[in-house]
Amino acid sequence: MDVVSSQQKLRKYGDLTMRLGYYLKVFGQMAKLALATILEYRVDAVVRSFYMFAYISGTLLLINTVFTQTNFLGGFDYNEIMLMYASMMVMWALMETFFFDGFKYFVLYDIRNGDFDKTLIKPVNPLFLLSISKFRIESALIGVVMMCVFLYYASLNLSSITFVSAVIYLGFFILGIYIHYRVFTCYASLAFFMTKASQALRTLQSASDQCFYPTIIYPWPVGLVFFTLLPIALAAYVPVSFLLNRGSFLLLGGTLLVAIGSTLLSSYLWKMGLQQYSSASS
Amino acid sequence: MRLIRYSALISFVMFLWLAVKKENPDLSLDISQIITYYVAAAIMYGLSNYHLDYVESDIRLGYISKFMLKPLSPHLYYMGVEAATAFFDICVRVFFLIPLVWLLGYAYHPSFLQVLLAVAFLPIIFYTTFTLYFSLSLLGFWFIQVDSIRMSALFLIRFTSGMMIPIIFFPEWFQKLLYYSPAPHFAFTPIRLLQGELSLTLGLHALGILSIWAIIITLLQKWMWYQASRNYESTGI
Repeated sequence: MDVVSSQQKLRKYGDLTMRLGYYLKVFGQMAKLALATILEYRVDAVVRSFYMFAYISGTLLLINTVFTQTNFLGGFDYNEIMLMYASMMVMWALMETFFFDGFKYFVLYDIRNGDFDKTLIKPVNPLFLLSISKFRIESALIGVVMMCVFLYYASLNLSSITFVSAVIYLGFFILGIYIHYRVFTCYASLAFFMTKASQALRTLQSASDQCFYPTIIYPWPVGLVFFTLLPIALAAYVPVSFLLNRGSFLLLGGTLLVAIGSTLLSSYLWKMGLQQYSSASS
Repeated sequence: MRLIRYSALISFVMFLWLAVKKENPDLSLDISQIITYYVAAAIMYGLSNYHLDYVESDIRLGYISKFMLKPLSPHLYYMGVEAATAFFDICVRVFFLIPLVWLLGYAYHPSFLQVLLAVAFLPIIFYTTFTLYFSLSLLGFWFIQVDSIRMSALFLIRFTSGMMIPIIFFPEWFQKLLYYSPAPHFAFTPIRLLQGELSLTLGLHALGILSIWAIIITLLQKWMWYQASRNYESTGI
């Protein structure tokens, strides 16, 4: 009995490893394709990153203007706010590099013109495939720049950072990406039922640059929005609070609750959407 | 969704400045001024915020050819489409947001002439920003990724027009520099007129500056269309 059970376990783990290997291979192929496109249209890639730098300049102008009028915001000084900004930008750069555009194109085009059919017939999880279908390699450049900014401001706040807080920060950072992925899935699933679902994704993208400040400065209903519908707090305020040893059990519990809630809701909405989809007619 | 989205974005910035006011009670704007400022900004947002991807797409796919055959200006045609949306946006926002300000216990205190002058700004703001973005979209005759250039201009305008940051918080030298550019007259000047805090003389001067920019940008757009139509082969780019 034990032997059969161990054999089953072995097969199961073998399958899992094979599947993981398969998915990594698909991911690698898609990345290779994106890189080949970038190398083919190099000028376009450079021009595409212009607007990101324009937006960063605008946001830096806003932060610096705010700090000409005050020394603290929600109990955080300029260096700590810059740390939050850099953390949020690194997370967004990663998400834009790997999966944000996949969701955006799905909502804007694939679901409307029926291209999603092609995804459905492929032997890969359709959600995984659509999310990695559009890499934006040039965003990685922004990520590298913002990572340097993050390290610089982290060095200025070194007295508040410990090794343990840095590890906890990393955990929250990864959890933040996971929650964003789940929230994107929820918004993408809305495209099965309505035509303007892209507005939700765009709102999240635009709001992230202006709402990364400590959530406590906002009225509580707005703060709640930044933890759930637009989880910007989980990209900046929450991880950086833990990095600076200012985290609380409330933030920890809230984040875990949002992670569980977003997982359940996104799975439910995605399944509902797939059942509703009837090839180019959603 | 679009109406809610842009109003929400502006309101987030409003909450940021309200938090700054809480930290620094000596801030030169009081709570009432911050709220009325950003409500007016939310109303006017639709006048300078366009995504003309479809123009670039028409150029790329060759659909722009119809304007070479018909006695129809592409500039005026596309502007008509956007004008309808912008007019609808402004009406809906005025309908909902002005009573909201009143319900919150705040109010605007302009004179009749200040309101009239602020209203006179609106069509010129719409015309100038649309023509500017349209001119940038015409770069689609030469390049593919034009949307990045257009979006860069949009972000620049968003942050220097006073939509996000009231111009009075900028350093003196930067305010003077901006005054002769069209940017602050896309939002800051008409909003301050509506708040009754800008004199008619300064308002008229700003309107003059904006009108001169409108003429310059129109000439630029006409020159670009002329250059583009000389090279165009009606088969898409």
